[in-house]
Amino acid sequence: MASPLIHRLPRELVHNLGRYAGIFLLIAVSIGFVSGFLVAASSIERMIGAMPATYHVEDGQFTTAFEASSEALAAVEGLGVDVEENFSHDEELRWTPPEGAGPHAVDAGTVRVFKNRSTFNQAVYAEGAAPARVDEIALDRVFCAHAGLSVGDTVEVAGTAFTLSGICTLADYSALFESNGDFVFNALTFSIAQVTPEAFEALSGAPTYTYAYFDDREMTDAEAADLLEDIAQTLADHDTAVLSLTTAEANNAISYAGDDVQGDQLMWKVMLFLLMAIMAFVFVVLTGANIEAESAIIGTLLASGYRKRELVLHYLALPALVGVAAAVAGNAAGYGWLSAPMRDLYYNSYSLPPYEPVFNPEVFLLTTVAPVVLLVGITLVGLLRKLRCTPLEFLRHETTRRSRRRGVALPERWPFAVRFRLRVFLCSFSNYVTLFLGLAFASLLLVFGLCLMPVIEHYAENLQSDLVAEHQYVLKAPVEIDVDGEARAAQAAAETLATTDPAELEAMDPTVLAELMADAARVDGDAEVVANSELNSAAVIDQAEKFAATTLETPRALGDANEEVTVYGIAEGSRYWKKLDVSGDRMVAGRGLVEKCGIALGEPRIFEDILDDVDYELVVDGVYGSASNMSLYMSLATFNRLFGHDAAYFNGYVSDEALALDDLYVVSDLTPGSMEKIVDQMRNSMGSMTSLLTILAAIVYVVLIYLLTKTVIDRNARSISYLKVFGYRPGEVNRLYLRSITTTVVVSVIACLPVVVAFIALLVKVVFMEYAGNFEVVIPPVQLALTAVVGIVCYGAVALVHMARIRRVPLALALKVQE
Amino acid sequence: MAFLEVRGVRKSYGEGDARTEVLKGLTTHLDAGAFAVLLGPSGSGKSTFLNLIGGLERADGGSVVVDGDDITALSSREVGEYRRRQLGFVFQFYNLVPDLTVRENIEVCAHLSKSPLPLDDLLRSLGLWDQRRKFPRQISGGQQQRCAIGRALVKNPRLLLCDEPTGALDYQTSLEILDLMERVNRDFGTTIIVVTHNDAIARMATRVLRLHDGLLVEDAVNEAPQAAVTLEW
Repeated sequence: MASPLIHRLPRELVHNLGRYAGIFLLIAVSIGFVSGFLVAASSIERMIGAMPATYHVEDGQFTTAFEASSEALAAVEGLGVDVEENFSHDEELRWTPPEGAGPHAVDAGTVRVFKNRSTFNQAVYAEGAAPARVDEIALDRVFCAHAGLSVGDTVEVAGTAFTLSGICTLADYSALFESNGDFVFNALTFSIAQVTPEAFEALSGAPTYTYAYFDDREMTDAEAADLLEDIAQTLADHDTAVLSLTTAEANNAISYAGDDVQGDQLMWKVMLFLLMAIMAFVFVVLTGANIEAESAIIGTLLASGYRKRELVLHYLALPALVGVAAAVAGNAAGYGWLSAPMRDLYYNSYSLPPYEPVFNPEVFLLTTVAPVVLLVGITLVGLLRKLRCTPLEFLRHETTRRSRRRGVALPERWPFAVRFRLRVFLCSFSNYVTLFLGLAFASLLLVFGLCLMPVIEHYAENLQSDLVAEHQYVLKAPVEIDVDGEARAAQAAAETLATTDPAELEAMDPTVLAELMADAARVDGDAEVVANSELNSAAVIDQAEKFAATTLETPRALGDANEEVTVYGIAEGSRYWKKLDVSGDRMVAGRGLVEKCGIALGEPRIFEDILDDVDYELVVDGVYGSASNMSLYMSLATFNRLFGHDAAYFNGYVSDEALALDDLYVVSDLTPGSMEKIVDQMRNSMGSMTSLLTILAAIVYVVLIYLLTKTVIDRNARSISYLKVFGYRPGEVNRLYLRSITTTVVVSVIACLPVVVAFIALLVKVVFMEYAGNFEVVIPPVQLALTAVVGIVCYGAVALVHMARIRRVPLALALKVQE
Repeated sequence: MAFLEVRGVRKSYGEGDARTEVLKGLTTHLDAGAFAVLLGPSGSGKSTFLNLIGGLERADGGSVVVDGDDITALSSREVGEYRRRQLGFVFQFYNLVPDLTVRENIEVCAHLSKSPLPLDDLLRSLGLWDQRRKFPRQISGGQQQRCAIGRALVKNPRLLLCDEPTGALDYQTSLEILDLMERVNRDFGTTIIVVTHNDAIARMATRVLRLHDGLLVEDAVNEAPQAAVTLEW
């Protein structure tokens, strides 16, 4: 026979609807948001992981100055890889923005046109189909979404009209990086395209000769880098000029989206950890309150012969049922309608194949099993702990240490009201401690949500402040700008010969060709420094400064991952890196690097060259720059000695004036403008995510304050009724009870903020540890004030509603039922 | 052998200077079917004595043997089983479950017994038939106490322990409750111990025990118990 106590469950649910609705909301909203995100992110991550096999994505690529000979390609294939032509044309793209797009709508950009692919780096069509006619084109899905283009629209490529036959995603362009050296992808003015082979051939000019290579062997990063070097060497051996080469791993167009998705999951997992801690706290408080409230009933049932196990099951039933129902609802919401906006966070930025949510056991465990087990487990532990009391202790309401404690003697000369209020405060002290902790937890969540964007913006500001010049050029090789006209001409001739199709050279005027060859012959092929083929004024040359840079890695202070460190060799007494003393062999680390990796000044530290598998033991002597500066500085001479370069070696310029440099040798040009782009991209890609986190935090904050406030007021409800019976006026009751609760809430909300800020600093450090760079906690005072105001307003609303409810209860009834 | 044998039971609370000896070696016995009233002023040890018999507290010394079982020697689990099988409790403040109806409150203890009393008959005999679907807050104090007695009786206990069962009730309602207990004692043969500070109630008992300062100062057999409804105070 089922216990008759089962009849209580629906009534208890209705009677304490607010409490159970709060628990339900807390769990369901948390699970909904977190599972929605994690399901979307893990599905996308899994999909990205499967893309190489599903769509036969390349393992790397190289681009040659002109079409590689079949011998050169055969030699590369001799290294154990398959090579496929993946030629493209970068052309001007024009389109008509949709109606209502406004006068400033973008209507032109660049399109990288490929032939229809069928065997590798395959296309996935979101709409329409692959071009079948010579005047048809397929464009990237994300680009089309931004440009407002649909199947059937007409676009112009290099002046020729094409009809959009399909909207697709290319497996090797999940992020639209126009160049691998770009700091951000660009889905606004850059797209990839597919056309028929006939349409491709009809495009004028030489294509970009890119070759994709495929390798079935499992490789480490170092082995993949070795293979790349071997390919470069093989091509050089066959007189093939290589313009660029990269592994798929280092190709942002292929790997960036996956890295991004992976990094974001950590932020949500931390959020989940916070939510779990808060849930655990709430469950402890509510279980304790429930048992205290039902103390006499529990005592009676135990005295009547009920076993503890039976009572444990009874008191566990409702929280467990509510927890399971909330988990089901949260998951339904997460998998159902919340995973779509979460998915769109990525699908609005990245070109990915059609989304398919995949059940992920880890996500299910984290978002569903864990919270329910937590709820049931904590309630169970609370019940078992409380049920250690004897039936008599329950009957006497002596279930807490506080209730067993003798009262504190208060001087009788104190006014009654003071003593009463103090007595109320002392009796409710543990409630107030609970309230303080709960408010601290809630504030922690909300402040965390609110501070994410400021932290990112502060990081961006730091990055900008660390820029020392208007231009920071990184070069593939040392290019000397301070050269005479003869050297410039010789270099230009050599480059023309190297990058012009042999067929074109053969067709050239023999006199011109002879002059070119004569000029080129003056270039010293063995020289480490190349002469710049472009002209710069003396003034511009004077203010430019050489530097060298390379990348090493060193372990982070937390976790087992390494941080990438840019190592700079700069001029001693540099006019750009002001107040940075690198004289002698002095080494100075960026403040961010020191903080994130826990570098101790004056002590040896290992920096690792992952690709060459070499370790460098360096001693950092000083700190420089902002908290986001992740660089290591030394003099150019020290740099060249350390890395085995000639004394004249360098691979970059810092300059406040734009330099005319040979494009062939420029890897990147970092300017305040490009930094602004990075910042915008960070804001764009993390903005919607932080907004969602903030919404979740705000909901949980309000629910939590409701639950805690209600619990504390509930505990005092009977005493309040008694006072009214004695003839106290509502105002007097409020002064005696509500004022102390209100004071506690206000003081708690404000007093917990310093603790919250300190904890957030630690939390942010952990959250962003996985991201490259060092993020410093910045919490604008206005956010803290907002948190306090939301908390106090929320408490005020709950207190008003609850006090009104207590007032409505007839006094006779309040006194009649003693339980 | 007596149904209840209490031998040299001692109980004290607190430590050091604050130590108070509440029961100072109390010895008595009761036969099955007795209706005993335990009298005494506040602080005399009445409730503590009742709690020791009910296994709610442990004695510091002595023994309490109920129907052959020394409950002072039982483990906590065994004491729990003893309460489940043998005991019914009635408290001054009813301790009903507020969100269960009158019938369900009684069912709560029917559930514990393999041979509970017929519920409907019990409700009728308690005069609660018309109130069976009401919640505690919807009935009077007397009806709540009758419900509490019904809850204690439904599992047909051999021993009913009542701690100030009329303490919160008016005269007329108290008489109704005492009359009910008298019928229970007579009809079911239940041994009943009632703790009270109301001397008048002693007149309906078959046995009168009086405690003062932890000592049993009176242990008398009432050869002519008075009907409950005729009591006056």
